[in-house]
Amino acid sequence: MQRDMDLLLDTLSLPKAGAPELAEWDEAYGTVDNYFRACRVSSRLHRARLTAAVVHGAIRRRAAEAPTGEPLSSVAIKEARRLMDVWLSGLLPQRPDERPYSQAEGFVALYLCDGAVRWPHAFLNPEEAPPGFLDTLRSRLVKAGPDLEISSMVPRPLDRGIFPELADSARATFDRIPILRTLLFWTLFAAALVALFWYTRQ
Amino acid sequence: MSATIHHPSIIHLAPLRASARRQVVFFTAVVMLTGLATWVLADILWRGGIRKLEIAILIVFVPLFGMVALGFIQAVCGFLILLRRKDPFSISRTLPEKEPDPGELPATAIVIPIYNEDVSRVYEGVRMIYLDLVRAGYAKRFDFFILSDSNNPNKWIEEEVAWIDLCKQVKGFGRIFYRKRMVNLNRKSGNVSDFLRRWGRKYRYMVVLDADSLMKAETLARMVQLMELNPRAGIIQTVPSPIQAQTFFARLMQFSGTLYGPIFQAGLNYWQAACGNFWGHNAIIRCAPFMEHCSLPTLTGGAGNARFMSHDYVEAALMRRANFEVWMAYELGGSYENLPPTPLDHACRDRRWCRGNLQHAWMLTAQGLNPINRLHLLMGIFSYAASPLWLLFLVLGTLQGWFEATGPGPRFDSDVGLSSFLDVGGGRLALLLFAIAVTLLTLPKVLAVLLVLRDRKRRKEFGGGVRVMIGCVLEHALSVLLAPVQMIFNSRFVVEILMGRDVPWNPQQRDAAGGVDWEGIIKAYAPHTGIGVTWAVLAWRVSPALFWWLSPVTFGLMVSIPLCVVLSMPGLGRRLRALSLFVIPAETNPPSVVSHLEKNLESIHHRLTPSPWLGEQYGMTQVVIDPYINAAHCSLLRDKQAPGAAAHKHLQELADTLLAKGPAALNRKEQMVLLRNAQAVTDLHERVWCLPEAKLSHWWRMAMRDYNTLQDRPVTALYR
Repeated sequence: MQRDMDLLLDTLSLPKAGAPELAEWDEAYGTVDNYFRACRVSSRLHRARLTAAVVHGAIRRRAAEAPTGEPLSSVAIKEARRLMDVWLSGLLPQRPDERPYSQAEGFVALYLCDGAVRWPHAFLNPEEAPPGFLDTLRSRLVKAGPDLEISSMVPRPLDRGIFPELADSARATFDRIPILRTLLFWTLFAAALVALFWYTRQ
Repeated sequence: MSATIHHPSIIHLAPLRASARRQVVFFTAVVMLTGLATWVLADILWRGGIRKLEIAILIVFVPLFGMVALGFIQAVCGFLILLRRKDPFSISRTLPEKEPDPGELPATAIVIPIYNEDVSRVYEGVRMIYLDLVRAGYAKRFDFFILSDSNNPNKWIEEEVAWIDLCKQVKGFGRIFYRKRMVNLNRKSGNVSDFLRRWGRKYRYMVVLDADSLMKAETLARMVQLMELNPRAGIIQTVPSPIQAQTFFARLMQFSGTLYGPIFQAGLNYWQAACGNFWGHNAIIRCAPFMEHCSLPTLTGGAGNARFMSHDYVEAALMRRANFEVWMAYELGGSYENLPPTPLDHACRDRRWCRGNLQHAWMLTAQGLNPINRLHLLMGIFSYAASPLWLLFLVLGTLQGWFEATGPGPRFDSDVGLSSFLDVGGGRLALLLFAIAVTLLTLPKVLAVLLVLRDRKRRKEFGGGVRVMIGCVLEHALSVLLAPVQMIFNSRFVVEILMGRDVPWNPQQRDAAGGVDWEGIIKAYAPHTGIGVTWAVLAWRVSPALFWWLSPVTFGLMVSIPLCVVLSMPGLGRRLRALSLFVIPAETNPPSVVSHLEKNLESIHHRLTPSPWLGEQYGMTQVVIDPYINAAHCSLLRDKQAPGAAAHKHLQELADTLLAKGPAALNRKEQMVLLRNAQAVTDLHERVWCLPEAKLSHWWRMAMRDYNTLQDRPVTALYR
């Protein structure tokens, strides 16, 4: 019981140098906790420990750097993302061309293997990864399409005959002089009326 | 491979010369029937001379009756073929009994072009097909390509998330691919062409599916096998059976399509043979000749960049022009699709198709096309142009009735021509002609019912003999009421399109999730009601006889609003299904792909969904808030270069607005601009998490809270 209490108090103790206001601490804690929830870290205990560690790190970083007025929650989120980046780049394999993996690729690999859900306590854990986790993570690099095999596909010449050509030129004329379309419509309407008049007087 | 390679191809079983003979017989029958009917009408009208109005009636009558006669002869041919159960021109006959070994099949792509579709339905369909292929052992021979042209930012993200979730669930990475085109050039045909330019050389065949298509694994394998056995086949089209109908209207269409469809399809195959058509989906295509010969020409012959909206008929014609055959595998089965749920959705789809089909006029005189393909194009045009012609025929008939009523005396009773031989007056002769037309329209349905009734298994699958007959009578009565409504719609579409009004590219409504749209129905059908009432009153004032002659048309128009409300009810559709009325074999004896699809889609409605305000912008919410989805989206973007100074400033302004006011403050285009830039998307994610709560808009604060509440639930492709 005493040991458990020590753990709790240890987790909750605030660093002395550059200690923020309690409200700022709370906001930073809430934001980072939310962020880890969005990362699917469902274990409350593990999340609490990670969140406290990240916020501590953020406080230390802010104290060590020149004051910028940046809110603690913002520094803490950046710290969380930085820690995840470092952690993931340590887990992902070396590329043949030795180019490092981007942060996005690491996140995607973790997402595809459901790392945070299937191995909740391995998340951001610098100690040795559990069996299965590392292999699964390394095998999950996304590929949206197979390698390209570029070829061409262009329309072949097609003689459409005289009528479409005439229709095309008529259409082009109507497009160029839109009033012609309206005039044609009126003319057709008038012609229909004249035809009707003539027919009924037969 | 050797087992299939030595099997005779369709051309050995049914040489093209024989198909030409069939065409002569078929069209002679159509011409003779139309000629006889025209003679009877001419005889009725020509009594002591013929007026110009009557000449006009006669001219309009010929193509209208010609189409009726063609449908009738086609149905009779189909009936006789199905009765004999042996069609030498059925390409499915070339298949050996044994299903192909997976090793025999070449790599085939299954391409699914999508455009702002219901993501759940698309991915559930893909899941069902993929799992069925895995079950049958063919999965390694097929690669899936989901080709998105969506310009709705939320749909785009939903599609990406659903793709990743689906691949995770079925272990489909490397088999199921997703591509989002940044520029929607030439719509669906452009999307498929884009796929072919990139990956076409990797595959001998591609199966084109629609967003709502579904196919059994065996059908897919058999389609590839058919292509292997028939090396001159360029396209083989399957006949998709309608499924998943919920509303009364969709059930009606599903029932009639399944019950009457087979005889019309067999009849169509009778005369078209190797000059078949392509319907745009549920078909297999030989990639190399398609790429070489079927790229669509511009509509205006180089004068502009307008493109064909209905690309499929033109592609089939171009394939045939390149001496490759186009077949319809009407006996294959295992191919499914959804139908528009309501009459209004059906009309919306018709508007799009109408424009596409009318555009085919530009191809009618193109050099080198097969006459049968020209006929397909012409029939496509006429399927819509027939409506204004029918309307004209009815208007001319009304005028004729008016002149008869106000003229010096009845001319129809004069004892000349046929009347003197048959000893009946002109009025009776007109009734006889009407009866002939009704018979030609009704008899194909009767023949289709007879075919079902004589087959015990099929009869049972349709709910039993009595229910088939009740369904048939009800369907016929309702189709009589709906026909004039559709006539007015199509006439309007034709006139609007000829006047140059544009037809927007809207996604098709494929289910009835929204319920009855009262306002939309009243707005859309008020003109029909007005026309119906006016026409009926005028006819009554002219003469009661004319009123009764026109009553089947005017009554349908007058009741169009209540009729369409009733037909759009999903509840009524479900009740009819419970009564086993309008049921089809895919419901009473469903294949596993269909039953699993229905079960899975049903389960969606029981899942936790985001609040409506969040649901509208769920894709944007996910990509901005969720670290994984943000990263996945950025990984899938091909262009990851940092934007230039001007672009960066514009993106910054858009991001500021998005975070300060919520996603609704940006229009679709602005959201798409943001989502297309990987750096902007990453920045948005960091900013939304780094901004203090006080500086975040209320919308984002609420979204973050709600999103995380949902996040604990398993994320799958099954969400709306």
